[in-house]
Amino acid sequence: MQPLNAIEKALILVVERDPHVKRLESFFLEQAGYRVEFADDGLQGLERARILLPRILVTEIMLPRMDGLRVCRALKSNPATKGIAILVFSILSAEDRAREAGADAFLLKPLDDTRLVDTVTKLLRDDREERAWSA
Amino acid sequence: MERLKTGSAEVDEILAGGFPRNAIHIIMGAPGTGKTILAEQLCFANAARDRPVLYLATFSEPLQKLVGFLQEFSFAHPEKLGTEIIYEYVGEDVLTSPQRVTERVEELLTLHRPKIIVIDSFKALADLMPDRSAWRRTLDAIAGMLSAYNTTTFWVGEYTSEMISDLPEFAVADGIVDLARIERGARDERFLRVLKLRGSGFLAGNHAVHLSSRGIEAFHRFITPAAPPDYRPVIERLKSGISQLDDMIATGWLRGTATLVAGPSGAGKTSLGLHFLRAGVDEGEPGLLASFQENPTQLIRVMTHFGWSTKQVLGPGKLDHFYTSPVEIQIDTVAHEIVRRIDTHGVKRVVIDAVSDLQKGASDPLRYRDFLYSLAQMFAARNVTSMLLIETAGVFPGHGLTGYEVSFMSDNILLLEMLLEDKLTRTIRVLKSRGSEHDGRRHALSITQSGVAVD
Repeated sequence: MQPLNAIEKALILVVERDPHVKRLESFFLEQAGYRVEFADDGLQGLERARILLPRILVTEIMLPRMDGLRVCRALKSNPATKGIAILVFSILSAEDRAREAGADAFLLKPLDDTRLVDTVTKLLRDDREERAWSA
Repeated sequence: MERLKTGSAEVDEILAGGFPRNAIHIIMGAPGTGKTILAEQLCFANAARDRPVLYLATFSEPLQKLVGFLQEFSFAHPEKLGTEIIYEYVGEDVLTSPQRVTERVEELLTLHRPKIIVIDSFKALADLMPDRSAWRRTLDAIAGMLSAYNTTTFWVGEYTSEMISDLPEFAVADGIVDLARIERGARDERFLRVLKLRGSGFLAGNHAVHLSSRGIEAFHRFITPAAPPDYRPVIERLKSGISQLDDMIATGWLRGTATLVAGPSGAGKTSLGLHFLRAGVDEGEPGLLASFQENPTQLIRVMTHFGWSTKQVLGPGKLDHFYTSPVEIQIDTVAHEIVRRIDTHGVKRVVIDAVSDLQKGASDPLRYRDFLYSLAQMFAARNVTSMLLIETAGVFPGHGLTGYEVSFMSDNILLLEMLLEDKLTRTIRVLKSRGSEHDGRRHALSITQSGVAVD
């Protein structure tokens, strides 16, 4: 699935501590036309999300200082950040828990570049359509 | 758990369905044991244009050699090279800067997005590192990167068993398959064994392996069937082919039972077995003679001597002859061939001539005993009536079954002896017939031009 012109260069914040996953996520998302920023732990991810207001936040569940599901709940309960689409991308098979925490999508590791880019692109499409509908 | 097929149904069976996906596996063994063949075979079995296979050759396996020899195998399809299977030589990068290997692998991974990555030889990378700590750092980086991506990795290397507890790559690996070659006299036997398969079961032990132009073929270690045979008695009495012998057992010779026939060379064991099979053919029951002494020409000679028409006895739906030289016996291979023929031809009666020959192909006495037990259980599970011939050591009476430790698995035991007086006298007696009255006396046995007769 190719990104739409309108959503190219959308900012994606990746909250991930594994350096190899970060490198691969960065490579494939940037190659697909997105901008990527990182946070190494949950607390930093929450802070950067509040400041950067990315279109999408991709987060692991198992993170130092604050787990990914708490990050998810915190962002979704805040009116300023609840519009950020959240993709939980985890080594844990926890799709139901992710949905309960408010995540918009879930992917199980390891990284499959096609699935990752397709999911991100779909989230951006859905987000764009929702905004258009609201307007 | 998702599995990756190897291109060999037998190897997949040993691996409980194949190698677990998204994991790192080591294929180890001495040179010439089939490591690269197994790796290449699984590459071709899984090749696809959308997610290619990436085969990285290091300096110990030059690319030209790898691809050149590859084309000798029937599983290799050259049209897949370059599109579905991508070979890359990383030897020069490794030689220039061993620690840069991780970057090079990452470049290739992000470029090709492979579903399988093979590094052959992986051990060669470690050998080039300046020191152990440099290798540990490199290993950690490679393993981390490969684990992060949706790919299944194979590290092929000339590792020995002694290295397993010492080298860090074995702690990192999710699966370890060892290919070994063992010298037995003038011949070599090849084996495959799974040492580790994280999160998965597998068939333990040494499994026989054959390398041929078809690639790697495995014959898993013959073990007792998972489902025990149904021991409800099938009260269907069979004919042994010698009416006087049938009279010596009140209610024996039941279908699905095993009979041990022991005796010295020349006592008439093979002839007795042939009568048993011939009686089955006459009743419309396909039979199988697995022999390690009589070759097909010798068998026809014996039958002709008895005045039998070989056309009436041998052939599809009648008697199938499986001959293997005793010099070349590998017991698991033999067992698989016997099972295959039983299942293919609907065999009802089997004669193994002789199980004592199989002892030479077993790694140790305990394995031999387990093997025979499993064989008897396999026959019972298929309701196949069997006759297992054993050649005892001496010609004279008294050289019985001591030391063979196989009599416990049989329902009937016949002992053949040879009395050397003025003339040679052959005898037969029923030592055991489970659950049946029997005549345990010694009876004269003669081999005439019309076959075996018992007085």
